[in-house]
Amino acid sequence: MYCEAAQRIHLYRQAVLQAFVYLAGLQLLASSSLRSALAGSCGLLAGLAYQYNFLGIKRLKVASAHLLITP
Amino acid sequence: MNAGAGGFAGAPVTKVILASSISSSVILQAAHGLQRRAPSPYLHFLSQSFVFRHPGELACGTLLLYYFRLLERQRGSAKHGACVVSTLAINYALQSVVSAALSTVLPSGPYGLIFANFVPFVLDIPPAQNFTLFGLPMTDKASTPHQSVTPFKNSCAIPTYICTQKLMYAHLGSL
Repeated sequence: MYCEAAQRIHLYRQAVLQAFVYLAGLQLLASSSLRSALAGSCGLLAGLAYQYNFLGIKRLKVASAHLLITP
Repeated sequence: MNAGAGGFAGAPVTKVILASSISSSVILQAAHGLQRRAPSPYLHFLSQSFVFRHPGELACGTLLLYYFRLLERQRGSAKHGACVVSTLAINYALQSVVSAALSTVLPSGPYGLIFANFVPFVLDIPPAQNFTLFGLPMTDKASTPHQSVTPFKNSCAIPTYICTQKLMYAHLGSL
């Protein structure tokens, strides 16, 4: 009984978290009507281009980025 | 809105991006009334891709950027850094084409980074559980990267990791 309730609370927490992520994205898209929606769709297009390796862009590497930051 | 360990353990690139975005946004919002010259192209690229002009957008965007450090924890800092740099470049090119075509000024801010991070968040991160709530499909993606936080040789990562371990052992002891 206790385990079931705990699991249900865990699931609700996950749902709220996920809803917050998407709602914050929508809020950012709608913040200044059309112009911010345009900027957001540019970002989405850039993300899709990187995801599907447009023009082989995943070849570019920043191999030593963590060496610059870590001591 | 917190996934995995709190703080920036194992996410130095996100830390740098967030620090630069917040500080430059606050400074430029405070100096809003001042008269400025038109910025050089490099400065325009930086301000267009990092500076929010409104406090509300700053709050939402900062939350989302902080949340998406789970992507950096999953694929590693070097790969995420490469993704960030190329995404910024593509996004700036797209934005300048769109603003020239429609002759509008697009709002500045890291919109490109934030909405480009949504793509791998939706497509790549595997959920452990699918369930429905009020008929809406939901997943537990937000808690997935708990296991993938590893201690890096980072000034802040190691104390955080030790603290987490101590907390875990304390919980085990209380059981």
